[in-house]
Amino acid sequence: MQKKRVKRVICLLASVAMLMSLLTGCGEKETAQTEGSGSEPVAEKEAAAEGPVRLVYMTSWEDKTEYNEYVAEVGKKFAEENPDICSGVDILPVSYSGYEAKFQTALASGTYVCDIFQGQPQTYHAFADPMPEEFADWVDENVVDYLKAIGTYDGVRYGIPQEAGNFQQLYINVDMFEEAGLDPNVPPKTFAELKEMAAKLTQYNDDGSIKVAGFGIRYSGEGQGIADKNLSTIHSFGGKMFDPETDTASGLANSPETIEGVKWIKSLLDDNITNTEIGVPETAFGQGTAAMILRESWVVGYLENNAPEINFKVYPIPVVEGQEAVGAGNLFPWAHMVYKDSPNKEVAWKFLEYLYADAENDLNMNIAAGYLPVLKENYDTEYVKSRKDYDSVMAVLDRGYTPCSDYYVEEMSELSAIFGNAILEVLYDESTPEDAMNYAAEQMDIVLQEE
Amino acid sequence: MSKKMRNKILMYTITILLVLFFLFPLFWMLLTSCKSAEEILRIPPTILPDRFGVDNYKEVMTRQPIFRFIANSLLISFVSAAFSVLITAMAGYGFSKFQFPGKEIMFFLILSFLIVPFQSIVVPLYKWVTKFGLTDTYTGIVLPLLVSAFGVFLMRQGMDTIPDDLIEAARIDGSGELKTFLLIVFPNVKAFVATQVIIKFLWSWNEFYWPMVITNKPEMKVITVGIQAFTSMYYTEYNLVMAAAVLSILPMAIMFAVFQKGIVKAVAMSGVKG
Repeated sequence: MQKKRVKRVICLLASVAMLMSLLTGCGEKETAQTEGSGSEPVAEKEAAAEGPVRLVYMTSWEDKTEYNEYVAEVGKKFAEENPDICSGVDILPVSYSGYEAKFQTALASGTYVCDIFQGQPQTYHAFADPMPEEFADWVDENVVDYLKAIGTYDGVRYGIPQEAGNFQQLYINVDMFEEAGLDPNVPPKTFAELKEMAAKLTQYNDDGSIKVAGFGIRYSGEGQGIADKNLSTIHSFGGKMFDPETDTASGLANSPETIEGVKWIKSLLDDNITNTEIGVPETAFGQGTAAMILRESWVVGYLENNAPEINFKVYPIPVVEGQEAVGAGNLFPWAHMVYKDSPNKEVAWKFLEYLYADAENDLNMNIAAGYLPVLKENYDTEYVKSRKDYDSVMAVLDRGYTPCSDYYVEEMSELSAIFGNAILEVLYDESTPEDAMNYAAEQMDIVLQEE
Repeated sequence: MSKKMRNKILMYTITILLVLFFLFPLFWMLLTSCKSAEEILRIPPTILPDRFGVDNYKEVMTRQPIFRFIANSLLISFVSAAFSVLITAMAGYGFSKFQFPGKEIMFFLILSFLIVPFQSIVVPLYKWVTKFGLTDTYTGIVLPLLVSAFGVFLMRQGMDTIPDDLIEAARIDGSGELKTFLLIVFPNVKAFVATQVIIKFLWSWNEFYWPMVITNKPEMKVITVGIQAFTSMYYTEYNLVMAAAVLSILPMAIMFAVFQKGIVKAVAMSGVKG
């Protein structure tokens, strides 16, 4: 009886909801601007508006609310100083999970969705407006050297790099080093030393299984991520993924140096120094189940927030004797770009120039996000100098060899996915390093040579 | 102990174990939603949180309009379920009880939509919806969800079970086509209607891709999209995701508790999972 009554109530509520939605659907279209604006609908802006325009900045850093708010705040100042051209900047936050669907669909449709967006130029250059020459020169002169390649595609600058410090560094657990009789102030300088120390740091359960891995590796996730995280090691051994100049991967993805690098990673599993069960490196390190890992600068903030009891130090990635020391670089070159179909391109570029002209903006945005700033000038600031990874960052930035910048081609995602999956095959004993990398090289050649 | 009693105990034991097995993820989600980020990382993992607080829930509600997301999802699911049942029932009735040239070809064409991936039509669809000025409106979100090829198929199957004589008798008694459909046919396919409503509701509730693409304003997001706000490029805030997940499943949990029998029947009848 009571159940019937509950059903009736739910049915009634459903009917009310349906009626409401019908009324809403038939009603006035709501404005499509985002946070805190009461301006005209985004989708209806089709031609360059007369008078001041409200810019829209589309970002997949939805979780970086303070960063986004800061951009909006600078937008307000920009509008105050340029009331004849701009009335402010609105943020269109898109969640990182699935942002590609939104970005690709909206930008490919050619309809108005934003003026400024954040993305990787090798993927989004077709939707981006080339940066005005003068601003491009300014960016080249003022960003940290390794970031110069970021924001460009095929020799054209489309955007300004958005973050720095996204290269692999060595994180060590100080307490575990001391427990193992190692000096945490003397980190491994070479990959041979790294493995030696990792062996000493590995702790085992009574049944022989690993309790604490001496070194946590990246062994799961999508191919591009696997390639990105393991490439630093492979580059250190002198290996490479492919050559965009000759459109070939053969001879590089399967070179003796690349295979040597892959073998080194695999040897950590074979020698029971690590396993494929401890989880992603930063989580394992934060949980105290990995004594050393390689990861980017953001992990400093991550550990401080999520694992404050972990006493850690950060050092530059080791080198391989006889090979060049690998500098900064990664496969995720994020940049701020201007949408080519935006009716407000000129104002959008002016705003970006305004945003970065004051180095303090770059600094404050990155403080809010917990990342390193992109402008050289900011590397003398207290924020950067007081970071736990400062010495390491500066040492890596001094290294000139940055092979990742060669990979910023349109097919990078596909190529790195093939490369990353080959590494996975080796790690999971599905193939030998030689066979896996030979096959990957063949597949990558096909992709590179496709018209 | 009699054999019957032993069997009963065995059955109860298996049932309890299965219930625990299936409830464990929900239980774990609930407990994790009360833990801090630090506790979640702890090894060995602890089952109970250090303290049962609502900090994560507060944080979720501060950072995102989570109840608005849930309300949006409910609205969209109700509307798409209601409209799609009406449209598909009429289409199914037409295909089942009327003869017209090209009937089977048209039916085949409708069914063939099932093999077209949504991704392949999303750009033109987005363009049209934007042109009509429906970005960030409930109409824009719900429009592509109103018609269901699967629903047309299901309802045609349902209509096939109604004897032609019944419809004929209604017509002889002077009933018009609309009256016959609404008063004679529709009530006789209640089971199929319920199946379509439930399945469509579940599918619409879980819809992610289209609502994500077509909404810009945070307050227009549905729960499946809104919950993603706690994942970032580098890591996921599991404590907040779990708290948001607990809140997001509440309406569905209530619905399931009330319409349990109907949902089970619907899933069994349609042969598909939600």
